[in-house]
Amino acid sequence: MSGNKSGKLRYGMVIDVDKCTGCMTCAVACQQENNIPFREDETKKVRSITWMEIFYLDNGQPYPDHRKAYLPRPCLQCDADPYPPCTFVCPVNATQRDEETGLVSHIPVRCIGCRYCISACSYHARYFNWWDPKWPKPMEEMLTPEVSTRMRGVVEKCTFCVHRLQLAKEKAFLEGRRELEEGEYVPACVEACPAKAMTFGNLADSHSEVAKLSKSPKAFRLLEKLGTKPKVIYLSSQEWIHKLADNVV
Amino acid sequence: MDSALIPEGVKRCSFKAFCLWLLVIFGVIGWGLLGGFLVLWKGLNVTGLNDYFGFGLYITADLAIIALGAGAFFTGFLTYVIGKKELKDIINLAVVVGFICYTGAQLVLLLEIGQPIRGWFSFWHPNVHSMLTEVIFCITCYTIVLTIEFLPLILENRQLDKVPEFHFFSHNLHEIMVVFAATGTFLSFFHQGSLGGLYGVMFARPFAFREGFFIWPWTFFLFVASAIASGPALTILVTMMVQGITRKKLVRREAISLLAKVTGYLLAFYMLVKILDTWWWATHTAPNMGVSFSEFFQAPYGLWLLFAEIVVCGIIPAIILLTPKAREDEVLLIVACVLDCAGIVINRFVFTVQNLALPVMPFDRLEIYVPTWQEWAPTVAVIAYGALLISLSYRYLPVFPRERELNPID
Amino acid sequence: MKLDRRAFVKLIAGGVGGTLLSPLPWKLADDTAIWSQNWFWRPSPERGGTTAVKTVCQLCPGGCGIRVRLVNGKKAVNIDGNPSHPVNQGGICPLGASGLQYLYGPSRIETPLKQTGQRGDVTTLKPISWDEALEILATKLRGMRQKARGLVCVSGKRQGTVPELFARFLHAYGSPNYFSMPAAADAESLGMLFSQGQSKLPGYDLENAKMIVSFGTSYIEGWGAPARMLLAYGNWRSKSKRDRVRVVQVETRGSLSASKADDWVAVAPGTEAALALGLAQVIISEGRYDRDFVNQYSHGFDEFRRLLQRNYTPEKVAAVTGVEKEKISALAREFAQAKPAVALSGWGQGRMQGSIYDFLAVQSLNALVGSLHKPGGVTTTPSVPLAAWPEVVLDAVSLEGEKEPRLDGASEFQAPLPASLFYNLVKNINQGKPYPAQMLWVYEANPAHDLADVKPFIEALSKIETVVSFSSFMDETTQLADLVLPGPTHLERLEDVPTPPGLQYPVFGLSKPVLMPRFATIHPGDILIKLAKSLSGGVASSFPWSDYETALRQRMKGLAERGSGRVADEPGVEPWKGGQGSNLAPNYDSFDDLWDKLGEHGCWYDTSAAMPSWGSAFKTPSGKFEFYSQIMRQIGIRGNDITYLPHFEQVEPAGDPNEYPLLLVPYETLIINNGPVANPPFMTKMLFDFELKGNDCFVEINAKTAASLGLKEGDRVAVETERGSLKARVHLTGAARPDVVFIPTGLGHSGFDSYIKGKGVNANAIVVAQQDKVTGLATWWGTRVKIYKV
Ligand SMILES: Nc1nc2c(c(=O)[nH]1)N[C@H]1C(S)=C(S)[C@@H](COP(=O)(O)OP(=O)(O)OC[C@H]3O[C@@H](n4cnc5c(=O)[nH]c(N)nc54)[C@H](O)[C@@H]3O)O[C@H]1N2
Ligand SMILES: Nc1nc2c(c(=O)[nH]1)N[C@H]1C(S)=C(S)[C@@H](COP(=O)(O)OP(=O)(O)OC[C@H]3O[C@@H](n4cnc5c(=O)[nH]c(N)nc54)[C@H](O)[C@@H]3O)O[C@H]1N2
Ligand code: SF4
Ligand code: SF4
Ligand code: SF4
Ligand code: SF4
Ligand code: SF4
Ligand SMILES: [Mo]
Repeated sequence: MSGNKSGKLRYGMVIDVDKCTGCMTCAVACQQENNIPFREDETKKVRSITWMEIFYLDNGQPYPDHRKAYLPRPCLQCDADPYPPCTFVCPVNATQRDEETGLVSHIPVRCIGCRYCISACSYHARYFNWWDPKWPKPMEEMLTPEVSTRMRGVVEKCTFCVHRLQLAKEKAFLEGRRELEEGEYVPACVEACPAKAMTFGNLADSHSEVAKLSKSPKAFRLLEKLGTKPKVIYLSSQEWIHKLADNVV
Repeated sequence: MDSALIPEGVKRCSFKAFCLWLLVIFGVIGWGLLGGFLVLWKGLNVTGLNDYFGFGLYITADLAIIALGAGAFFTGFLTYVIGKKELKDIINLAVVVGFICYTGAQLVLLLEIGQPIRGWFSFWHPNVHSMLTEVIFCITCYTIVLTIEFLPLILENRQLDKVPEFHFFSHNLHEIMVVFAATGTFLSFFHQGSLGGLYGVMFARPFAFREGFFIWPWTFFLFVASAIASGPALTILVTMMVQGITRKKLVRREAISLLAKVTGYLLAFYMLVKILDTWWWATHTAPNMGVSFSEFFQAPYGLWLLFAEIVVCGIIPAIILLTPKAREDEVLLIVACVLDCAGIVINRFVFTVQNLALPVMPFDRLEIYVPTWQEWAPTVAVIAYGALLISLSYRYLPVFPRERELNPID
Repeated sequence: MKLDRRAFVKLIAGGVGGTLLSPLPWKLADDTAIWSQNWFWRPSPERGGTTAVKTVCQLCPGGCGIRVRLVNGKKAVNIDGNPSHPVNQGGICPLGASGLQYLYGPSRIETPLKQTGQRGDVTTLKPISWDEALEILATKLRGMRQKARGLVCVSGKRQGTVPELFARFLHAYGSPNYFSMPAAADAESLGMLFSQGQSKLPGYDLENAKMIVSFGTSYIEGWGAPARMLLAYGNWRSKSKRDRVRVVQVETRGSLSASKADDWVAVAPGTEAALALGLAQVIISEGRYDRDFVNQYSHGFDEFRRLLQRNYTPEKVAAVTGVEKEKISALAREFAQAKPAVALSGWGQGRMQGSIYDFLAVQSLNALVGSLHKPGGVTTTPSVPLAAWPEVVLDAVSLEGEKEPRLDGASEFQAPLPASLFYNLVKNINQGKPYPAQMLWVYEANPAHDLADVKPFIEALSKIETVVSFSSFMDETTQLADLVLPGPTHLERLEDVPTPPGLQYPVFGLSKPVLMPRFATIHPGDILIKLAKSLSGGVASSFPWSDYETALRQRMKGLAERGSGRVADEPGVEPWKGGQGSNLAPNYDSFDDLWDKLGEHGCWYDTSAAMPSWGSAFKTPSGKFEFYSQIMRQIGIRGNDITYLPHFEQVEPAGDPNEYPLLLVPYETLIINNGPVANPPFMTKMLFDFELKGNDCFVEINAKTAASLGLKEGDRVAVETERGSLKARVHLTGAARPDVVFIPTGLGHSGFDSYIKGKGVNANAIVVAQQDKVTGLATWWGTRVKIYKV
């Protein structure tokens, strides 16, 4: 584990809340991509694993001034200095920020399931495997080969589809390139979004789409005041949404 | 039947009565084992824990037990390092209680982690920045120290003592006990402080988070203070309890009074620091994070918790313990010690459960945590485990050096 | 060499020391982490090389291009959007993304089944061989050939060669009773016929519009082609401030579509059309309409204007809709000014037929501002140039059958109209009028669950001797079937996917099996061909093909011969950008080349045909857009002048207002599938816990309604209408209009698997479908209801 030495790669995501239609495709695509288990009853939300969780927001006004919005939340890949809230506390180094890319990893085979990181993350981005994962008989067939299934007793979370980075790197390597082009590494959720509300790329590259969007006046981060420095940035031109993102009194 | 094992010159209840008592204890332990077994077999899904409450009763119990176990190191410190000889009456019991607390906590910790089979990873892949790593290392080391401190007492059992090697070994251990007491003090001091850091470092959790001076050294010493202000109270309580149950005077009153007085000062000091901490947190830390103090207290985790912790279980027992007349009164002394111990339990509960219950994102909602019996049973069983060890120790080991003197057999 | 004691000890010590110094023990210790993860009961995905195959999703009519990723060429492990497909541009909807949960779903039917006991008893549905199954069916069909009209077919799919084969089979067999599941398209095609002279369906050029006013459509929650709408929405929101697209949602409930619009106009239930007419009134009275269009290309404008002046002034419309009159005027002005602007119609996802007048009111608004057949407006969905099959061969029996009245024609309505009156069908089957239905075929539909006001339909099933299901899944209708002939799922079959609803340019999708069919299923097209061959006469002669593929190829020849249009083989194709009339040279040189390329890329599209000019677009008697419909008169619809004009008729909700003081309005969301297949686990998982909790679903009510009934958030209630009662819990929300109870559709399954069975209740069981007095088309938003704590 090493401190935050922001280099030339800082993968990040911009989610335009105004563009987001709340269709939840991103969340479904994530489940499919990352072999996230499902149970017959998933309505106890505090025990349901959704790496990409959709938060429900509303402006609290009565009919007909009521407005709602859905806020998709992957792991925000906090860039806090020197450490993200979650990796800081893990006793066994099962979760770390890769300082080359800024990706906050999680290694299920290392995790002892102490849930200290769950307690430390205020975004509820981490999930514990309360049960052994099971797929109804033939559905095991659809498990993707890149992502191992996790077992009971360990924590898991969004990895920014780090296996896709691996695949992109391997491909680039075979083609004799050492650096990836923008768009070569894109997480499943971003790719699936039918409204194209999500943008992914290198925040440290000022020419990238994400870097430009992140500087928009519409940009905000969740709970900015806590100093967690999320690398997932939201866009909205609606004041009530900005307000709900940051608990400033 | 077991008279050969019972120390010479003391009276113990009949073996039959003792067995009946053990039966009760084993009943509770069995219940706890069942709960623990289910947790290990079926997984933590049988508990009331969830992704909001990553921590719950187990951790609350662990933290409270460890704080209360501070009686051992602190009494040892007073006895051996400071040289308060009166406390030799009570030091053996304090060590037994400490041993119970630390081993009990580790048993519960084993249930608490999702992958107990990998519990040792914290030694294998330690993250030196994690407070939990620090705590795990210190607790393990200190448990070893406590075992070493407990060992001579065990070897002093009438039959074991007959073995010359054992006799020699325990005698020599006694001679160098001051070394272990000092080591234990050091270790315990550290991890009690780290336990505070455990929460204090969660900078994305405004309720627990402290910054700058208020994390180091403040929180560190705050938690040390909280432990040494309550651990001895538990030692006193256990002593009184054993005396009550056996209907014997086992410890000279001076020893208890001294410990009570010291506890009173410590508690008063702790309260002072705690109130300052709370004040700074309410007026500076929280507002800086954009949270108002009142947001921290939402039903059912309301302000009553703070009132109970600071006034009822802090200031009141401190006053009792600091008032010579009051602390000489058996009933008031017990009340004060109970409140003192309850205060520390509330404190650890608040940092564990209330901390996690509170919504941090404004659109988040307050969740309520209700432990299941599978969580209560092992927790309660730790108490039964304590009762078992104390009963066995009391019956077969010379726990109270003054017992013979205070209870001459006609 | 002698091994003395010393040497031995040394050896052992050295060995131990060496081992400890070697990485071995440490590696082994570390490995515990791995083996404690890889318990045998934890599934391990199969490793292997992956390939991606393009095909077309068919889980809804949206027609999206998808890519299926396969491991070792045989296990499908992922579905995502095909970036070169013009409709979805690489995006996908949650249903499409969940597609593998159908392929590998536990409720799939593996073999033909025959009911050996009581109908409805799933345990006595016994596997039989295909030969036996087809023989049973052929025997029955031979036996009832003289009463061929007794064969009824219900298709959930409205377009494509397979529904056509079903229709053809019935035609050749001698039955006029081929029906589609009811949908807004029923009213749309009729409305288009009445106003424009052809029953084509509207195609909206939404990508080029500057303002969109949606009259009750769930425009981002499943209306039209869902993924296309989501993409269009994202594009609207990507435009610069100057080109900003304004979206206005007219709806009773504060849906996501309402919240995501720039403005939400909350109208009284069922009064969307009144508001549309109110806008039209303002536009006309302020002279803001397109004079060129109205003067030269419309018929009956004066009658329409007089009607509006009389009945739809802002004051009057405000009283009906509950929208302030200033807001009505402002919206009208905005709509007239923002060129091009387009108004959308079709309630919710378009599963309700609705009134043709609602449709006509909204289309008249489009006509007034000159948005018909103009970029950024509304045109008709262009047809795909498929070649015709040989004429159906009619034998004596089928010629007789052609003269039979359809089972949905009833005297109380001025029908039969050229549309399917599904609710009449249900009524008539129940009454055995004008003749009994003997055998029912159900294809790509699950009416026993999905049909709004489902109870009469279930009753009707008991009047039918034989129910045959072609479903791949154990749905509710299939549970009630006597014979089940399971087809392959969308990833295992060859099939054409026609232009999705609401699109402004023609698209032809070709889905193909991306992996070996998992079970011995037979494609319904092949079943029909086999079946036809086993019957003699015209039926056999009408199905001259050896198999479905041959039949499909024959129709696709037309595409190859068109001389324009392209296979979408590269990403970033945006057909709406160049606009209609931008000639597209084919990128294939023969039919075989087209077939291969379509097989590889899945999609053909064209923009060569320009939108029709106003002079040629209308096939009405006047040759103009008819505000006042002469066709309605001609086909024999009787009434007064208002009957032939767009107008608003208040639907009187079903039920006694004293007993049922509130109004029940069903709503649809994208995350609960309403199609023939039940919600997949991936999607059900995403429901909020104020939508589904345990097995309870929630009805939405306003806090005021709750207060007047003494209800709190989460209370369990009975939701009761004259059709019956359901149990649910209440969710208090500002999205709900006071005195209205909103209930989600798509839940309450009793079929399928344990991941959906028993979750929530089926709203269709208690809503009452009400038929329009003129056309017999049904609406089902207006049912009176009471709720009380249980
Ligand atoms: N491409 C394409 N194919 C389709 C459809 C589609 O939309 N597009 N729709 C499908 C649907 S929904 C249906 S119902 C079928 C309809 O398909 P068909 O049943 O094939 O209907 P039509 O093509 O209208 O042809 C009806 C035939 O009946 C003849 N006819 C007209 N009146 C009479 C009469 O009084 N007596 C007799 N004996 N004959 C008469 C007509 O001349 C015509 O030949 O087509 C299906 N096929
Ligand atoms: N002039 C003339 N008029 C006719 C006939 C005729 O022969 N001649 N035939 C009549 C007959 S028999 C029939 S059945 C009707 C058929 O006419 P329609 O009811 O208009 O059916 P289709 O032409 O098949 O087109 C249905 C439309 O619905 C869309 N669609 C498909 N599935 C769905 C869905 O799930 N939801 C929604 N919202 N839309 C969907 C399709 O894209 C298509 O645009 O036409 C009748 N009208
Ligand atoms: S897929 Fe895109 S539009 Fe849909 S919920 Fe996710 S971010 Fe929003
Ligand atoms: S969002 Fe939570 S889990 Fe993700 S990096 Fe931040 S603290 Fe860690
Ligand atoms: S649960 Fe796992 S990842 Fe989280 S802190 Fe504990 S060991 Fe580390
Ligand atoms: S980045 Fe990958 S892992 Fe994270 S939410 Fe998106 S799909 Fe899931
Ligand atoms: S919109 Fe329809 S066709 Fe497109 S992916 Fe979704 S279900 Fe499939
Ligand atoms: Mo038809």
